Amino acid sequence: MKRKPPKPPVKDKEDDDDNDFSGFEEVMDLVKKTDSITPNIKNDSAKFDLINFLEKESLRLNSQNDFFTQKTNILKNYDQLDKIISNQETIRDSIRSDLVNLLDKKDSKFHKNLEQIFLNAFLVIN
Amino acid sequence: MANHFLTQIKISNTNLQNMDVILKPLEMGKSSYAFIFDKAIGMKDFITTVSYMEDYLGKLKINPRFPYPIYIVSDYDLTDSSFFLVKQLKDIPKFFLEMPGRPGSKELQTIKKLNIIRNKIINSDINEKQKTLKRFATKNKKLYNILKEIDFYEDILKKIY
Repeated sequence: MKRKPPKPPVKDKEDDDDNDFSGFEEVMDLVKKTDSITPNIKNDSAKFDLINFLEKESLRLNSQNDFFTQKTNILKNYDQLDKIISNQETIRDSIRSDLVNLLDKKDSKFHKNLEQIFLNAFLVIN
Repeated sequence: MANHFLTQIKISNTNLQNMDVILKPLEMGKSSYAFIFDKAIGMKDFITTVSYMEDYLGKLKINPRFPYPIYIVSDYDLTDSSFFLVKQLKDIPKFFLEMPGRPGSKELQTIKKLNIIRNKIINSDINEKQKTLKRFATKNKKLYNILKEIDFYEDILKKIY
């Protein structure tokens, strides 16, 4: 009796792709059988949300701390506003007096305009 | 962790008389709270409870706005209240409303650091500093008015010449 030659193994499409891994088929099968690891997006996003919140919170608290411990103390101890106000008041008074002196002259524009208004409003009878 | 987020407290007509019982267990100043007033509460009762709360916080030397704000949710308006008054829970900033998740060990460490900064702010006597800020603001207003007047005079002078 003649022995039949052994059938060549039937090639799947997947096997064509795995030509590079010839000799490792058994191991590759094991790898393929294992479930693919899907990242748990929900948990990750919640964690990042929390980290984001804590960063914002630390920024908020630090800025409040700077404001109440440093900036307000500077305002309290080195207040310059009183001097600035008195300085500006003297400037205002001098400008006001200059302006009044200018307008108070007989040939000033203010007087001329007033005169014109008066003449327009009333009839001048010669 | 929960003390960094807003806790809601509902106040009805029955709760009004024993506000001490509601306020004592709360960590005022160390976390933000929203007191939701029932719509059935009258205007007079509302004003008296809010003023009682202000006195209570004043005795403890806690500022109702810093570092953690205390909100009052009600339809009534009070112009001179030191609390933040809102008409709906939606009006409160989302930052305090949302709870992102449970903290791990690293997050707990950062929370501990935040608690230190928070206590530093509370101990810095905010009420006194607010008074100095108000004084500063009134002086600034005065300076603004003087400068406005100077600007007006200078404008006239330019037109004359």
